[in-house]
Amino acid sequence: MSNDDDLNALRNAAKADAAATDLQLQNELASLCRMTRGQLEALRPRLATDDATFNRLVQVVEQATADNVAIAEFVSRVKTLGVNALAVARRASGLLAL
Amino acid sequence: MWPVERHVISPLKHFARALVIIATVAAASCAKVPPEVVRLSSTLGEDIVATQTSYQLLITSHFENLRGQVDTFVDARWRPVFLRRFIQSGKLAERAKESDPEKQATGVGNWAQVAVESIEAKRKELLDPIDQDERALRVAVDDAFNRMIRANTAVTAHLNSIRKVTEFQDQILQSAGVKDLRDKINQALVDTSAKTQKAIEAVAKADNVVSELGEQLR
Repeated sequence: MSNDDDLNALRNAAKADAAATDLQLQNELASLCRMTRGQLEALRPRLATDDATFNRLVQVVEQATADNVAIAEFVSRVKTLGVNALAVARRASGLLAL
Repeated sequence: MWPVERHVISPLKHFARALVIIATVAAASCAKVPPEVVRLSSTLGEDIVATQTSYQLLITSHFENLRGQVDTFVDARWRPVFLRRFIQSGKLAERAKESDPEKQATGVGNWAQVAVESIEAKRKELLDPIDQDERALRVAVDDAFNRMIRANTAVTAHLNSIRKVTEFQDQILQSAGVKDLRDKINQALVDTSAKTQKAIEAVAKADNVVSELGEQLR
């Protein structure tokens, strides 16, 4: 018998023995599976809303935030506008002198 | 000419100033937004991240415990039962008694190799679902925490924006010479609300008295 044949024969025998062992210990195996896998659903977080609702809520708040920031930055934007307008006017007056 | 212009412009300026004040106070909704609100919300965000780290460590600990139970079962229960069978079916005694030392070593070595393969295959069969559960739970928990962090970030940014709007309104009110107008309105609302509560309690008492009188008259 070649070495490969010997290994194949041993693997077939081991497969049958493993199945017989599983059968003999089936109650203990079932108990182990219940113990190690039964808690997954209990541990999984249950979220209050679905993703679509959550995303919509966040988007509404973010839009309101952007609006508030726009209001808060109104003065600085007006100042920037004034400075820019003044610069343009100065350049324009320089062109007139030419 | 000049006095007429002044006469026309002055009421317009007053009207514009009043309009700005009204709009500013209305936009403020007369709500107080102390800086501590933003700080509290920001602190909550940091606490959520710390809790997420703690939760992930608990998940690691929980699944390590489950894997330990599987290892104990395989090593203490499954392996001995399996080996008792495989020693017979794999003819271990015959292999060990082989007169040719080379054949003996190969025969026993093959037997040991297949025995280890079978035991580790069983261990893997029991551990793989636990590993999958751990990955699924980590994804679900991370998703939940990421939602909390995102929501809290949005709320913190919004509170901060309200603070900025309030500061902007304060600047306008100050330029209009009525900086403490909002505080006065807020305080008046607080006082009125307290008085209203007292009035509600007084009405409730009166209602009780009327009910008792009604009972006595019957």
